[in-house]
Amino acid sequence: MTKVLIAEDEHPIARLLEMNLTRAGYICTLAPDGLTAADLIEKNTYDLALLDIMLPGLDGYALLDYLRPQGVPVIFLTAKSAVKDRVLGLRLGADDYIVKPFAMDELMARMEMVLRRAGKGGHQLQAFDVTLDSAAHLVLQRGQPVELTPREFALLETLMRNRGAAVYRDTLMERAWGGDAECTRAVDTYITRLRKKLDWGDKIETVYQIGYRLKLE
Amino acid sequence: MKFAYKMVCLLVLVLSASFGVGGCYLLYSDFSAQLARAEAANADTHRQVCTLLQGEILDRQRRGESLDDAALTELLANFALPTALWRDGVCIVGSGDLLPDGTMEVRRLANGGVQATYASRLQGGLQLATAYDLTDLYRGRDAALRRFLLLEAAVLAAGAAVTAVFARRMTRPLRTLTTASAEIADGDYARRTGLHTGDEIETLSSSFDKMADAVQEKITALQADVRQREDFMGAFAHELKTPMTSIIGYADMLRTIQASPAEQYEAAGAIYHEGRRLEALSGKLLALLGLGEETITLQPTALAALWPRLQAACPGVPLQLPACDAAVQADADLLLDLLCNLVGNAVKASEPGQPVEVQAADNADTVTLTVADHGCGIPQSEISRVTEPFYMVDKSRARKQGGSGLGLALCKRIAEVHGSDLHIESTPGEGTRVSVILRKGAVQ
Repeated sequence: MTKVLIAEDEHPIARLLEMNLTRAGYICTLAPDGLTAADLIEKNTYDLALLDIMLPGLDGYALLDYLRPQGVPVIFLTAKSAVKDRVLGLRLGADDYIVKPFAMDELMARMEMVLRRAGKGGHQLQAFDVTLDSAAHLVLQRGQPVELTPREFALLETLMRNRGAAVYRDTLMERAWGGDAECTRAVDTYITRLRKKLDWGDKIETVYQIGYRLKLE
Repeated sequence: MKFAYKMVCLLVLVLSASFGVGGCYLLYSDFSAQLARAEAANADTHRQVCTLLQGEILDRQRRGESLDDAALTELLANFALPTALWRDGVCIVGSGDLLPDGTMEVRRLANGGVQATYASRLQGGLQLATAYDLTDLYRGRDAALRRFLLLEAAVLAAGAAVTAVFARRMTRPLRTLTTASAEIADGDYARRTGLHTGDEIETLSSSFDKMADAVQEKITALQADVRQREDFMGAFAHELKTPMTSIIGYADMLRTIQASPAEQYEAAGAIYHEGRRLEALSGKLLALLGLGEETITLQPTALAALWPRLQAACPGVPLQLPACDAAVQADADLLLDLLCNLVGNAVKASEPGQPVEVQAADNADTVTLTVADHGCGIPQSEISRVTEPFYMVDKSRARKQGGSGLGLALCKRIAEVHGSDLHIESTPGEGTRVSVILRKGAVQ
């Protein structure tokens, strides 16, 4: 399991990150200010840190100094979108830089990329006997690669990222088809195929009038 | 052509002209005086020779001695002078051209010498010419002329050298000014010349420095303006994007999955509160921007009529209002907005139920309105910054209370519109007093 430190002083944003990342299989620790974050960094080891730049106590740039010696990859989350801020962040040694407001999907994709680059093997989504490596675009079932079309892959990824929660059909279509208006029935067809390919007939549940849910273990 | 070279050329020209004319005049007048003296002396000698020769000839004629050519030659030899003698137009002693009687002729000789010849008619058909050497006189003059030219050349060279040095020294301030203006043009706005030459150049330098001061002031003001604007935009973007991140993020979560009721409630709450925060921000921002554009007319406003409105605008706040019923020059709505904001801040800083005091001190021609609380106070170091847009002493606390960080900035602007500043006094742990001074006005 990948351990993530979230240093963010805006409580709603911190909770939003925690909820979504926990569902995707990350273990999250929240730090509401820079000093708490520095404390946590010294006592624990993390696989990844999401840092807000404008933190009370110690700012995100200062926290980099704590994280660098431990080799923890860092992603800055910030409202500062000026190019010079981005350049400064990256030059100081951040692995990536995400400007608020961001889409949760994009954040997760970037996190997986950063984890992979940092030699942590990437973050792999795990469900039952299936492992999905989104950075490598690879799905393994009991160690054997499974051939999936891009849409099937996107559907599986969305379901795994929202494990245990019913995902709306509309949203599934938007993720897999990129927002092209099409009959949502297509989603049902693809889910049926996905169930067959993975032999997951009972694991992807149909939720009446809503969509689909990937069961928890 | 450089100014220094021009000065050197001018000086050389003036020097050579004045020296040349003066020197030549001196030399020639001296020479002509010498020449006149020599001529007078020669003429005397010639006259003596003529008289002596005439006397001798008369003597010999009286004694009856013959006066042939040989005798005359012998006679003339006594004078130890170059002489020539003609009898009836025929040269019998010496040589040369026969000159008319009583004339004098100056001749240049082939060897470069100068000779003056005097001619006189004697008795007995004789004509005598005596010659005098003037070579030394002329040589002396030529030598003096050469010495003078050498001297003048030396003087001119020395003069040119000295002028060159002085001209360089005199034009150094000009070079300083040139370099300084180039450096200022290159962005070194702190560069000054500060020349103390005690002449017009010093005046130029000081007015140049004054100009540089003005330029630097303008540039600094512009830079400060730009920085302020950048800071404002940065803070504004942050204040705008932070609630938007939550709103978009939670809304996206709600439309992606069927979250648990607890999560749904949390998401909806976050969306609601962040939305309210944006609303407060946009309201304050619009008010702040509006103040910058509109022209506000101040009218006499009775304070007594303002207090009930203030109490109505701050429901549930234990307000202690003053009895002051003076009238002030104000825009009633803006003043109410200002007081409301201050009361709101006071409430946020105080414990629930703690009273907030509004005081009005009636001065001679002004009224000082003060909002005082007994809340947590503002640290001394922060007081100067609290009126900056988006500045918050305790960010997370301000957030919880729905603060936008613009309230005091708005109050400061309103106070400025009323010709006052916002005076903030605070002691951490004891409370804060914020006052604004308004001019009195007469109610019609």
